[in-house]
Amino acid sequence: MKKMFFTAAVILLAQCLVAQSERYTAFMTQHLKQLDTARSVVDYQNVANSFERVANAEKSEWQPFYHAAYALCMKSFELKDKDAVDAVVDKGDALLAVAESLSPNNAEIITLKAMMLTSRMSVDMSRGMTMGPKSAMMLGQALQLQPNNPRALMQMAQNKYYTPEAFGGSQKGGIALLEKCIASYETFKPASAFDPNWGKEYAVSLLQSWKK
Amino acid sequence: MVYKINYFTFVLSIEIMKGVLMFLGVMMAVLGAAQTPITGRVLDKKSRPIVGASIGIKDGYDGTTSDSLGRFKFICYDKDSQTVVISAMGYKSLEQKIFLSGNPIEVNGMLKEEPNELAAVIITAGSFEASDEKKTTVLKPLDIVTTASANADVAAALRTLPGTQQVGESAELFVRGGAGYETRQFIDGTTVANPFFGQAPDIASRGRFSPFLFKGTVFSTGGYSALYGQALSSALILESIDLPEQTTASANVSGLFVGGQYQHLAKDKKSSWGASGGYTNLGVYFKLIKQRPDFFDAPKVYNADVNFRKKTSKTGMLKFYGAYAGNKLGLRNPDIDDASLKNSFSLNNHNLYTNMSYKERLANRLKLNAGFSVSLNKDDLFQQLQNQDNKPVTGTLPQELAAKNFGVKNTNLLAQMRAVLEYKLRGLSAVRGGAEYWYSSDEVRFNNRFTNTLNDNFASVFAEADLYVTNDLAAKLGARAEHSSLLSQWNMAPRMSLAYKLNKRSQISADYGIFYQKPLNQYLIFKRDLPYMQANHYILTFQKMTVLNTFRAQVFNKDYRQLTRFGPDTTGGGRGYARGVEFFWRDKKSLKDFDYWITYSFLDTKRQYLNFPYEMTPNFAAKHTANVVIKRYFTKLKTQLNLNYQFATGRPYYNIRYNSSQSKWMVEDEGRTISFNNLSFSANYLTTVGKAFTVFVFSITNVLNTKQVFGYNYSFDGQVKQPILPPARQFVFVGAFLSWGQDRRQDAINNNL
Repeated sequence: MKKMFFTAAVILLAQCLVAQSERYTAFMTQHLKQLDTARSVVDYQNVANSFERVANAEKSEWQPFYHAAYALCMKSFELKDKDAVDAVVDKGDALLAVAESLSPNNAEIITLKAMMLTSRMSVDMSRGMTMGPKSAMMLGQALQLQPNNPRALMQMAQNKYYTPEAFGGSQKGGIALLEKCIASYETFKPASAFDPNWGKEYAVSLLQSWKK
Repeated sequence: MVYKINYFTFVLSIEIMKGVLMFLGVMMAVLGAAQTPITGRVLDKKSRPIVGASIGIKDGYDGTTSDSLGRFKFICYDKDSQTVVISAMGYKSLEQKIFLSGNPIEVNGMLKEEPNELAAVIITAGSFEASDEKKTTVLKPLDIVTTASANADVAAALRTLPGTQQVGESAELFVRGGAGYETRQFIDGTTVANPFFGQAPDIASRGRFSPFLFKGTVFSTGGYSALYGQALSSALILESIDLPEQTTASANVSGLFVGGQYQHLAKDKKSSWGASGGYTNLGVYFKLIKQRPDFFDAPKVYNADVNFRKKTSKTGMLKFYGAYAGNKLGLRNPDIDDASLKNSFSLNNHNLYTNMSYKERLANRLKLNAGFSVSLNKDDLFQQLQNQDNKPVTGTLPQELAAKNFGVKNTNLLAQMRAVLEYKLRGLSAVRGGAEYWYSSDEVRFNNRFTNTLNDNFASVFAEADLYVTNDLAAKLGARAEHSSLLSQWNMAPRMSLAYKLNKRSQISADYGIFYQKPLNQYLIFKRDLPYMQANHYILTFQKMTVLNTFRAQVFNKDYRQLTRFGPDTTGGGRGYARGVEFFWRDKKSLKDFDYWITYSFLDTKRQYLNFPYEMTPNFAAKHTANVVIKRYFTKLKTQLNLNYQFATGRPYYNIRYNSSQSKWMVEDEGRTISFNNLSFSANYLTTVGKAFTVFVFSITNVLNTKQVFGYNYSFDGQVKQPILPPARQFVFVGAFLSWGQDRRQDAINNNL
């Protein structure tokens, strides 16, 4: 009888875990869809809040922290009032710090950190002096960890393309990197369904506009 | 009783259990599916809606985001006692217990602002800060390098800011009616005894320290923190860089100087060392561009430095910087008293400077900043009357001419220690306290015969508190007590700042403080019990700031007391005042691709000090001073162009002579110089030479070649009056800065990307 109770308890626990993870799966799937269609400041804040709630409920998964931060980063790009950017990016960086503590040496997280810097630089170009090299260093690190990470390649391509030649930028080099990035989307397989998997369409449209 | 469970019964029992569990699960779902609608509004303390706030069940999935009116609604599938969490960026989160039973619940939240550096009022709005680390600062470190008139001299770049005077005959910073020595420089907390190279009379030298050494610069034109002292007018607080981003080598080449630098970053990125050396010789330049004085020994500078930096822990940093620099020059001018004679002057300066600093977080909220610095400075000055063949004049000379033959040797030693503890209070508030000890020994040897030495053990203790009542209202209260063994006197200086945020972008602040400074050594030699010179500052500041625009208006009043006077006895009975209005406008936004700032300073100042018979405007003070700085980067040309126009109305000059029959000083002649105009231009071109990123720099001061007069010197009998002029009207510089490793060109241009 004791054994039976024990077995029952184990099964009950397993069941609960499955239920929990089903719920996690359901919410993550739903929020990722929401993120896909988000376009405005309001949309991005909304989906960032949703992911942050999931992140705080789960506590041990890096992905919801990542997606919340990514949504905030996208929000910061959409902001018209550039004075508001730093506060949003600060929050995003704080979420990324948690993500990084859960999953150290993660190329996706490092790439998003570099993207946060891009957003900060868009506020005041003179920040490029210190943030530019920092961003380049981060992307280098990300690509060292994962040489074919398409998002790291895309960031690097954009940095290369938009940096004036005098600072080591090159439009040609940018286009080459972006082509490499698009190719890498074909082979790159995210480790799980909830890992970052964005950017392909944007990369393709970006390449079109660059080639015009 | 023994149960023997075979495989079949085991499977069966599991199947049964599964059924039971399924049933229980469904039951739970049905019971739990008591769907509770939760509605409400999120407002701030002034009852304005907060948009984009997150509302959810603590540690749960359910929740939503507030809309443009702060309203929200969501269905919660949990049950029983739960906690609703409302959070929004910039606000403190709010938690509220609720009981879920299926009946609709209304939750309204009023959120308080979170203490936040970005949103909070700036207590130190009265000073100018250049930093890459802080998000909103008036200047960036790069601005110091790319200001056209400055030629990468820190003090010269700061001369484009309000509150500073255009005093072309000196490298020092003259701030708000204060003399040059009233501005003191600090590096990593400790003071710098000789921040400028040795200077010939009426010819400006340069600062010793390259702007590339610093990551942060705070220039306070008054009302500075109690952490610093011994400056009546102004403090220039410099913070040296930490570890470099990567290993680099660089070289500087021009017709004027050659120099090289190497910085090595350890593989683990926890320590670095570096060394640099340079040699400057203006000989060739002076052959090409004629100088007014006859330089028989063209200015030469030789310098070498080493640095070592180490991360001692996750939060600890130890830095050492040691530099040797020397400069020498010799020049001749026609003698003012006797046209048949020449006045020859030569200077030889040696300076050794070391600075060690250590910072560490000792405990959760406790930080330590310690510093140790030793510097030794030697000046060898020699002046001689010479005949037309540049030979010493022989025979007996009248006293006023004989006095012009002299030699002076100065030796200045300064050793200092300093420790400051900072304890973070709630929010942004903090208290700081510390102590400082300076030992100085200053020796003057006159004509190799008379030696006078002043030794001082100077100790100070200080404390201050930053108190943020809310994000909108903050105060800084501080005090500083100092004791000099040389003066055998204590002083006690209170400092106070109050800042209030009017709205998201605008704020006002008020500063008050008493500032003390020891009288200059040249007067202490004659009388050691002079009192501390004293200045009381009262400053009002209005500032409106966004990341791309800054507008600042300041009104100040400064009371000078106990200034050194000799009338004819040396006393501390001098006094005076300085008051004025200043404006600063910087704009990186309105004109596309342009970055510019405009400043205007009005100054009304008079003082009775030294030999001034009554309160007069000192000869370094102009009534109106204005500056326009424009920078633009041309992407296609890979070039940044910088323009700087400086204007100041004329400065007064006097011939003050001692009237022995009346036993007092009298003004025998006075006047005002022509106004000062200086248009400077510089261009930085970025390219690659071999593997080196290279910046070519071209700069020229006084493009319009206008006449600049800094004042007048009088002959002994008062009959001859000679203008004080720059050695040449213009200064032209062409040079190349090459670097390998890190892309140093990013240092030279800011409008990139």
